[in-house]
Amino acid sequence: MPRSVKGLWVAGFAGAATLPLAVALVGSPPSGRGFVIELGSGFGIVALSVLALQLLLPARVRPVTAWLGAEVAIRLHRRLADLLVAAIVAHVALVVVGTPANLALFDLLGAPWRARAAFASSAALAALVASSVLRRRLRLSYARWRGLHLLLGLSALALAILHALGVGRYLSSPAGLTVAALAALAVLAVVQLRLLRPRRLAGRPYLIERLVPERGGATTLALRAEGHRGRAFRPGQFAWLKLADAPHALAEHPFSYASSASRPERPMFTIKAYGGFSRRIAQLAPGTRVMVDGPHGSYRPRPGAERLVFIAGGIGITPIVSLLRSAAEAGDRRPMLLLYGSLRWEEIIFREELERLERRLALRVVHVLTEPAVGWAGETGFIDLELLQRHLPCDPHRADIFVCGPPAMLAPVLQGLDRLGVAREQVHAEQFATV
Amino acid sequence: MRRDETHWMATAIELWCLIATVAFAALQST
Repeated sequence: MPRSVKGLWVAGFAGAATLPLAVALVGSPPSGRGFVIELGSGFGIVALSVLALQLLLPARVRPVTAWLGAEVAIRLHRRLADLLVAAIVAHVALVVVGTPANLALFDLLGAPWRARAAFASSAALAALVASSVLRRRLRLSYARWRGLHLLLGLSALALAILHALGVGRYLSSPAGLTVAALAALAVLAVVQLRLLRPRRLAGRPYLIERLVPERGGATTLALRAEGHRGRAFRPGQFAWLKLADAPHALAEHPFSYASSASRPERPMFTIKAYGGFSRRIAQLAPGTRVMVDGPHGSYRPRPGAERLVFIAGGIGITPIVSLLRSAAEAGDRRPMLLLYGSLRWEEIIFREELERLERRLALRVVHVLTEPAVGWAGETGFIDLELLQRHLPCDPHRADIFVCGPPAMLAPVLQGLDRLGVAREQVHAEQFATV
Repeated sequence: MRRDETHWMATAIELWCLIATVAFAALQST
């Protein structure tokens, strides 16, 4: 996605987060209170709007996933947690510094309900942050954590609104309506994501037609749309899969489409079972109904890219194989290069398919093995700056570069591309993480 | 190391929120 679009999106988000401040300014005359206490109130209002917007970000709302990309939205959601915590801390500290009598509000037994609501809201948020940071240590499954995350987030928002209504200074004015509108949008987005969308998707199920074992312990799920024509997707996009007999369950997982985009009624997903839901879904029997929530993601070549370079590690090959298969069907003759890191020769996912694609496309595949057998004459180790220098076209600036793999692989590749002076706009990176 | 693109996005949002809040407090306390 071009940087200008992201810039516009950032402006929209920042504008929405501070709109209630502007409305409060217009709607209420200067209070005559001190700067510090007003600053405290301002941070409180911003915290409330950001909290509402935080619920919107991961809710797979079209304008967010289409313009920003679902993966970027999630990472932004994580980063903006800092802003939310900082705004709350500043709000509490400044309200006390500005009016020391407010210290009495910390005596929860004697405090008015508006202070208790604020305390409960902060406690919900603290539990939310702690459960996210310590999820693995607490041995919370991904599905349970998501349920808890959603519940704590909604509770924090409801309690914070209650607190603001109790204080009543700004939020009983038009500024309150602005915050209420943001909160209502957030709640609607959550209801749409968790209640309405699953019902709609359950009415458009897919059947598992075949399960194809692949190299490297991966499995391809070949699906067929049942009673509908499937949903068109672009190669490189992904979808959340979940079981159709439990449409409202929180157990679901994002997987890249691995098939060509020319047959949306028969999508394929190649899955490496790391545990949890991915293991369960890779063991399903043919005939099982699944729900496909997609397509999402903005992983695609820029129009006019003269050549394409793909850099993948392990199961990170799936979106790339979809791009290659689609390119082969479209008769794309642009020069392409694939640098593909795997553990061993026998474990190269789609090895034979890649050989076929090399014959159909102007594609060169370079395998990089971390544990090569004796006698392997190809590339070994990790994909780093030296390896990139050896294989990238002399003029990488005219290429679009797609990188997909685990974090440990992505870091040296992106660092290498930076060192080679490749512009960020040319690089489309997607990180695969296990949950 | 190349920075995650969400870094500049989040920083821009944070800076804007800070400036807007300070401006709000300055105007409202006069």
